Amino acid sequence: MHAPWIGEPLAAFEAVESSPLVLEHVTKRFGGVLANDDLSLRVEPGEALGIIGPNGAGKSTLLRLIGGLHVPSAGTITLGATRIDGLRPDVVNRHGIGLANQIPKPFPALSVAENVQVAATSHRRKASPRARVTVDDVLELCQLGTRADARASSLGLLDLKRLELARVLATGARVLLLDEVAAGLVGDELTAAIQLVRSIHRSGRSMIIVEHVQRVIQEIVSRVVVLDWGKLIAEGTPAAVAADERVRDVYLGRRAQREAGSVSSLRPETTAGTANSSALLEVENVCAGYGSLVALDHVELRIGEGEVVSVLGANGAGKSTLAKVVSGHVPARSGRLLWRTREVTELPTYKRARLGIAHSPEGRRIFPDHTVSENLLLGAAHSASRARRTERLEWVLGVFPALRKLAARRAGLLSGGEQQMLAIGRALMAEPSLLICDELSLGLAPTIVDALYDTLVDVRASGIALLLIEQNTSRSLAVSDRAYVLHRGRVTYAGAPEPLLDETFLVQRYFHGEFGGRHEPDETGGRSGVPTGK
Amino acid sequence: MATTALSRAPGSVAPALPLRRRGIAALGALVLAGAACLALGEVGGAGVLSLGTTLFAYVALAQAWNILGGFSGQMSLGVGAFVGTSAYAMALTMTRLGWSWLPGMVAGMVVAGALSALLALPLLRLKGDYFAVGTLAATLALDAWFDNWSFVNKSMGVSVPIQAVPGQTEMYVIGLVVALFAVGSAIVMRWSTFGVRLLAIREDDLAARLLGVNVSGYRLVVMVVSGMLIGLAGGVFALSLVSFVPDGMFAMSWTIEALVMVVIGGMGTVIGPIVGAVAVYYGITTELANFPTLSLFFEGGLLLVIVRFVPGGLWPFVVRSARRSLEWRGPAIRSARATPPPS
Repeated sequence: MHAPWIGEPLAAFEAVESSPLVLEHVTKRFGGVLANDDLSLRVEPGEALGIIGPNGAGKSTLLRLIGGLHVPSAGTITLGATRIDGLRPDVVNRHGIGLANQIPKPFPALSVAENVQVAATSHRRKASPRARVTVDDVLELCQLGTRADARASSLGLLDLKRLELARVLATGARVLLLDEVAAGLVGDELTAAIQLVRSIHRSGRSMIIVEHVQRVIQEIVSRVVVLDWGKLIAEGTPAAVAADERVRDVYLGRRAQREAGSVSSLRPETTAGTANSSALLEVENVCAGYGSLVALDHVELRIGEGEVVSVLGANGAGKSTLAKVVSGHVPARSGRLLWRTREVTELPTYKRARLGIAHSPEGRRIFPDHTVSENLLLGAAHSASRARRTERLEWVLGVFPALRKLAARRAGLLSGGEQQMLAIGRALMAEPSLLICDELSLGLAPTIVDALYDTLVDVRASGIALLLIEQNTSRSLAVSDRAYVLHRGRVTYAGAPEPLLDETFLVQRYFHGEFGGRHEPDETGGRSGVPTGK
Repeated sequence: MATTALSRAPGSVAPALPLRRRGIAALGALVLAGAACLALGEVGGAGVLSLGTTLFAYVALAQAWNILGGFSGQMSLGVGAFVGTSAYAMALTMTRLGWSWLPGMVAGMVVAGALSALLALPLLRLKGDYFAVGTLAATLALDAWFDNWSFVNKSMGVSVPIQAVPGQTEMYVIGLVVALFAVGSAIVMRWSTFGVRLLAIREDDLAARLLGVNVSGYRLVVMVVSGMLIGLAGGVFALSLVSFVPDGMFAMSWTIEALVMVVIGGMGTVIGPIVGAVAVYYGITTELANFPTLSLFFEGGLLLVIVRFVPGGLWPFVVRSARRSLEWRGPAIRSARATPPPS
């Protein structure tokens, strides 16, 4: 079942003893916001506990409380006999609790081995030299042995996730807090990550896993806790929780029950044949890259007026680079870009923005210290009059009603879903003709993703063309007029979205024969094997 | 093999060994370089000796700044505070207590280290720009204090007793030992787990904290070590200058010199500050000794060129170029395809 590069599952971890982690009546307030509300949890030694819930439910806050990054407003956290709430993060870590971050935080200038070395513990706990595990052993276990001397900044996403886990393991942690370690991984990469986490779990280490990718929850954890607005609303086995009515309402969404094909409310029947619509943007034979890396290799792409186009592909396929080339953040090394038949290849980003190309970047890039309304107003065209800006602001707040009541809040305090709305809203303020959305659904709860895709209906209805860069293939294909698949910087598919709904075909286009046929479909869900976050 | 090792002690992970090996190799190279400098002092005339003394002091100064700014990422604008404090401690113990230059210099180093620890109490709560401004403020405050403190002759300044100042050859050796000590400290720090953790703090202090690194403790240690090394360099400067005033010893120019040398040579590397000190002091300052304005002009120009075209500094640039030209001849091992392009 493994692709060749995944390797055998790790049988190397032997059982370790650890202590139960107990949270009693833990509450955390940020100003007036109640992030965790009277939570009591118990994680037995060797247990894997999953935590799910919508964005803003307080999942990450809970992990950060345990990890010592926040101090609870009330309640206690104990590991065995030791009370650990209120201790500094480095002290909590030495008690045997390790936190792996949602967004990997490698030390980019250090080598992979040095990254792990930072966490190495031999100076803290005296062990006889013969009994020591070396950094090399940890790298081997996390399948990073061949990359030991590479700079961390050169790693791909899967290796970054492995490194994040390797570092936490090297601290000697017996309780691992994993904050969305699978976010952004697709297909075989996701399988590899799940195998690694599983093998670590088999060694007897306890885990708390916060995750939106349902495969991770279903294949690793034995018990799931559901949070909403900081409160525990359900608890049970993954299957029981998935069947819970309340959980469907707040988190999984009704849509998860339906077939993926039925989501296509966004696609008007009339524009099925789009060849006759005039071209808005044409990418002709474009190459781009970074240093010696070739990220885009003679790419052709066309977007018509008001058209919705998806660009799919595995991590590192060049999707985001394509988005950046279109908006002008990354220069094209060769080839041409035409905007309404006018050449814009050499035009700087801000001038392209004025022509009508808006880019909602991966990772949202909102201004965290500005308020929501300031963020939105900053997105308006510089030439727009005050009245026109206000009018546009009203329109955007109409598209995202949730932002209206948050208008005066600092953007950094918003939940992930709200920040994503803000990022799109800000891009829309410039009254674009083309909106590029990079990884719209990354790290978001299924219900939030539903809501975002619903709002794209309004966006599209106003005549704005969309370029969707997505990992969530079933969602984006369902709303697209046409789709492209990139593999290592080359277009491996261009055309109607329907054929890509066939999973075998999609995987073949994704990996272009490299791993084709070796992929085994999703063992548990079966509805959509390749895409993450259903 | 990994299996058995992990099953024995899964909680304890030892650092990899090659790091230490590279450090020992670097220390060996340093000893050879020191011997070469000593030989150069023997055969060279008075010109070499006086130039070498100041150059060595600058190497130590730049290296001390590099340990703090380049390794741990704490950008200090307070080099003058430690140069001045150490020079004054040395001059005062020599004149008032009648100590000779060696205990005087050690006293200067200890006082500078103590000042570091004292300043660390408030400064360790600050990060980034705030830390830099805090160190600047401390320097200005010390300057103002010494300017108005009658015990140290206010703005008249102090002198080391001229009869206690060692001869030119001894000064050369003192400077060399101080520079070797500073570079040796940098090597020990860089090629050890301690140094790897310092770099980690520079890259992402939160992530380092989550991996169990006591960030404040590490920052404190590196501040004190850097302060002591600057103190040693300050002692050499004090012995060369003989008499000095607060505005000179607590001046901003010490910081600027150290910073320019490190940035030009290569911040965060061990060799970089040496290259920078040689390029700036030997290549510009002494060559244009009679045209101080022109000298500053070239220094600034070089800095601009480096920051614009070789942002890593001269030394990393040389290493990269050498590696590239070696690879050119050998078989192409690395291909662009080996690492997936960022999407």
